[in-house]
Amino acid sequence: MVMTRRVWIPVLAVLAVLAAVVALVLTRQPTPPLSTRVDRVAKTLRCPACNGESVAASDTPIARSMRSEITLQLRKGRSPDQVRQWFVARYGADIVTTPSTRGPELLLWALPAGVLLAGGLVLLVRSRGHRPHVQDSTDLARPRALDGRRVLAAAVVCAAAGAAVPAAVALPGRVGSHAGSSAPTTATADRLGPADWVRLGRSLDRRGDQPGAEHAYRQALALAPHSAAARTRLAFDLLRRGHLSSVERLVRPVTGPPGRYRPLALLVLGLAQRGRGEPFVATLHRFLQLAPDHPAAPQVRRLLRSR
Amino acid sequence: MTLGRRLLRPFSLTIGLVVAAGLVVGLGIALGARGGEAAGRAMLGAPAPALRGTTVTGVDYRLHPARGHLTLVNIWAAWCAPCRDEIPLLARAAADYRTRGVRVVTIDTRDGPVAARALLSDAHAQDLVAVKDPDGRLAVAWGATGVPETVVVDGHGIVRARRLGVVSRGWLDSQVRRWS
Repeated sequence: MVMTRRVWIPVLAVLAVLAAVVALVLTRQPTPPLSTRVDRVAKTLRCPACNGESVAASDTPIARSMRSEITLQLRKGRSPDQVRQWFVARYGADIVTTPSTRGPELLLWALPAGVLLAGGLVLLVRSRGHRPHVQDSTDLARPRALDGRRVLAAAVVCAAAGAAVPAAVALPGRVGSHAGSSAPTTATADRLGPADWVRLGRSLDRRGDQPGAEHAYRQALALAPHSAAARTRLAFDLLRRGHLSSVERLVRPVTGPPGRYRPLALLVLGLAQRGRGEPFVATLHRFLQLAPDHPAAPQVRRLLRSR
Repeated sequence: MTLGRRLLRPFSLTIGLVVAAGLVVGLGIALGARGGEAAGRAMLGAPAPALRGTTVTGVDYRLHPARGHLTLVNIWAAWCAPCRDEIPLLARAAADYRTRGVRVVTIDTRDGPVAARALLSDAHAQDLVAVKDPDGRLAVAWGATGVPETVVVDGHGIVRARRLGVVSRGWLDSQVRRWS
């Protein structure tokens, strides 16, 4: 049956009204909070110092800096696409997590599609050529379990080989770009040690970024769980922010053995014990005995006298 | 058995699919790992970004790259061990190159001014220009992927080279010769 103009016009009119209603509903949706919008953009950008992590997922200093930039640009009213373009201009197209549809990246799109297409064709051909199968004596004699194992073993080897070839081709190129000298690559430079994390924590602490400092100290602690510096600094940071629950557990191992951080650890422990009477006084007395000239000593003496 | 029939056997099919899946995974890993290298090249040949701010000693600073001076811009932080090793070399280079009209400017990223000043003082590098970048935005604007990192900007304000990691005096000299 052929549709006449009399039928088409009302259909188009209804569609136009529906489109207008949908557009109205979409535009009246509340704008998500800034943190959500920052997170959405950060998830579409690759952390340039990491392997396979997005800016949203990474905790490296550069990823944190990139999140600061995204926040500022979105706050200025730039669209997510404009923000992404800004990063592409500085870091190249690879900074976007969605693979490009040009160059070698095209294979990432084409290969799965090709495999699906080929698989579909093969299934089609096989189903057409399928006949009721009568097992003969030689089929019955074949060790089928062995075939399964062979298939599995070969599959694992082939998967490893398939993955290794492009990785082997591309990875030396990456290292080679900095080869020829003993200078560390960015990845090496970014691999901070516990002492570096503690220094970063102290820098952030002085800037008043205490959550950032806590993060840095926790990174140091993850790398060196017995680090007196990381334990004491983290405990001090938590104490000043009133998060007392884990201060004592963190700092107590540092208060026993002699060491550079022992006086500060005793001070932190003593202050965390405030309101607990005897332990509070005893710990702070130990602090004063160990470090009578500590900058905090006069204040601690006043605190003890006031009791 | 013909080649077509052989390819249609379950064993051949499985192997084919697994190799293809492996290729996709491997390619993904390889392209993902390539990010840092590509990032380093992205700004080459483009105009240098703005560099304006306050130095760690509290002085307002603004870089005018397109005024005929070759400029070496180094991004560092006091909490980064390789940067601490590199600062004395940069300070010496800055002093040596000054008479040749080459400037060395640094960006002190995600750092505290006290720690930065202490490091510059320890390294006898108080004359080194160090612009504060407390939230890391200047480093990102310059396309940094980590610290330390050094960018070479020619006298026309165009980014010419970039070094990820610690620089050597030989590399600095070669860049100065090439782009002066």
